[in-house]
Amino acid sequence: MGKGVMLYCEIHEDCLAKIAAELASVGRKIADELGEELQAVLIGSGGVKAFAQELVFLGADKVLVIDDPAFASYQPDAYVEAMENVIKDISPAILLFGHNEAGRDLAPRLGFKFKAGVMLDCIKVEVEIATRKLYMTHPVYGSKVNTRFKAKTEGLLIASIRAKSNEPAESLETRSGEIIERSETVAVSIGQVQIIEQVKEEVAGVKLEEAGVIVSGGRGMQGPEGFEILKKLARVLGGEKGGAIGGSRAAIDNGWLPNKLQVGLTGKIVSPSIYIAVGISGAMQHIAGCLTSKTIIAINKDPEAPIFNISNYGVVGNWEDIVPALTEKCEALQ
Amino acid sequence: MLNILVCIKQVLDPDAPVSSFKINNLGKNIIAPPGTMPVLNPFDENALEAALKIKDVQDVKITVLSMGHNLAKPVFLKAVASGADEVIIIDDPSFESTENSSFQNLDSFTTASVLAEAIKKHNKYDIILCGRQAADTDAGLVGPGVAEILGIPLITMAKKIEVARDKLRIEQITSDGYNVLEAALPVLITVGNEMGDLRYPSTKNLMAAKKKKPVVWQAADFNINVLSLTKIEVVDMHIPVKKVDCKMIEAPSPEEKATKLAMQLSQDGVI
Repeated sequence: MGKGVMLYCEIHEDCLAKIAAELASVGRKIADELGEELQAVLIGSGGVKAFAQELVFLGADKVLVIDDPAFASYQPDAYVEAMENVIKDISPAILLFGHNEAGRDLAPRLGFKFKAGVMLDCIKVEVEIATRKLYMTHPVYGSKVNTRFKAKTEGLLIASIRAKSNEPAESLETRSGEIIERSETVAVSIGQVQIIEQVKEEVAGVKLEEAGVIVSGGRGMQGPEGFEILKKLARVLGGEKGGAIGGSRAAIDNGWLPNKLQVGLTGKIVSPSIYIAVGISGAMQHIAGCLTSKTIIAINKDPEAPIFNISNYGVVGNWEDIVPALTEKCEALQ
Repeated sequence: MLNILVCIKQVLDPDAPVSSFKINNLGKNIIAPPGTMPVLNPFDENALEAALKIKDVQDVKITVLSMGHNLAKPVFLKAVASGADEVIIIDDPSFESTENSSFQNLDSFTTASVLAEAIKKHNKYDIILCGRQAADTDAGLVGPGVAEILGIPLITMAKKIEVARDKLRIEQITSDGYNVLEAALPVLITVGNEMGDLRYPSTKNLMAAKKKKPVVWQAADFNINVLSLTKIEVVDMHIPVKKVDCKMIEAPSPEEKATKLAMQLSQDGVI
């Protein structure tokens, strides 16, 4: 029988991935309710230990640090093998991932390897105190219906958590914990899958997941050119460092924007202070990506568009007429 | 000749409006809105398109596999007319109807196990293609599960697949852009909308498809007790209702609407 909660954490561009704080808050609560330990595992290459202390401050009782050139980039076979060894040694009751590349790739593999119960893209993972059973809430039907699941059998449970669905844990420097360096030499030196190249599609400005202001365009934009106008609005409201543009799936499928700017269930989950949806009808799959934004403003020529059901402010009309005027007025007010 | 398997699932139309969804009395299942036709899972359509893109440039045989009871004729025809050479259905009395089984009797573990057994029985594959997730469960586990059970490499989220002799060159979506990967065969690949929409079948193919029939296998023949495989069960379901009071900005002209909105946002401290 497994014991304790384990978090899978990552380092992105020299920082602890933001979702680690959200995982820590979910994991700490579960660990406290079960009266068990919270451990975190951090895998990478070069200087990994430096990030471990932050995980202790976020609430981890123990942090396992695995640092080896074999883990320089996410090579599936190497990471699976390392995690397999960790799970066999530590035997956690529940393993939590962020729902990202690792969550979609590594979590299911490990789940099937260990014949564990697996649930991806959970917005909540909670203990039912009376039974000590874990309940996982995962939205289905394109995020239209929230479904709670539980494991039928005892044994390891693996879940990935949707970004921005839980408050991040507070970082408290008064917390203490153990940092353990763990050596992993994986048997897979030449995987059957080789990474030949890693291409970064450069998009100027702030990352969507970090932007304070996002102006998104959908099918109503009718082409790529209009996004320049949206960019101006984003810059006026958010500045160079805080304003970004995004798009619904329609905008990406039509080739108006690169994949990485897709906001939605199968794109990025964002939570800016201001989210402006321009020419976006409001399919649940898109709304799932922006629902936790502080203020949502919708501009659409269709008064019946479902986007108005979840917006704080709505304007019916043509974006070509409204957005430039809005940009001007907002600039004047600054 | 490359053998490509595409796993497909029939789902409730994911574009059906929320207002039409009903949860049944026991709170464990969705009742299909009347008159809704089931469709081929959109991400599985992308998987089929991935297979067809390979077929465009070389000799392949495309076999479509689907686990379920009563695959709807339009779904079957779409798969075949698009270019699948054969369709194999794995049936079982416990599968009842699509909307029941997706949440009650089956979970991803079961589905992956049954599909893997069918694939072992079929025994001829170089590339297995799956949609990244089913639009009803949004689970995203069956593709990786089948790869793990078969013991073959897995590549998730491919947007492009090219065959070069006995290796594949694959572009895999990442949060920042994409990876270029090289993989040996056999391999299982999951895809999403980035792979491209399923092409429209030609009239000729549509007519030819009408004369075809699926091959049907019984899950019971695989010697696995389907119901005993499930690991996860539904506790309850509910449709979240976000109550937001939307301030609709009214004014005679678009410019005045823009001004009014800006003023309101400033007044409310949003900007």
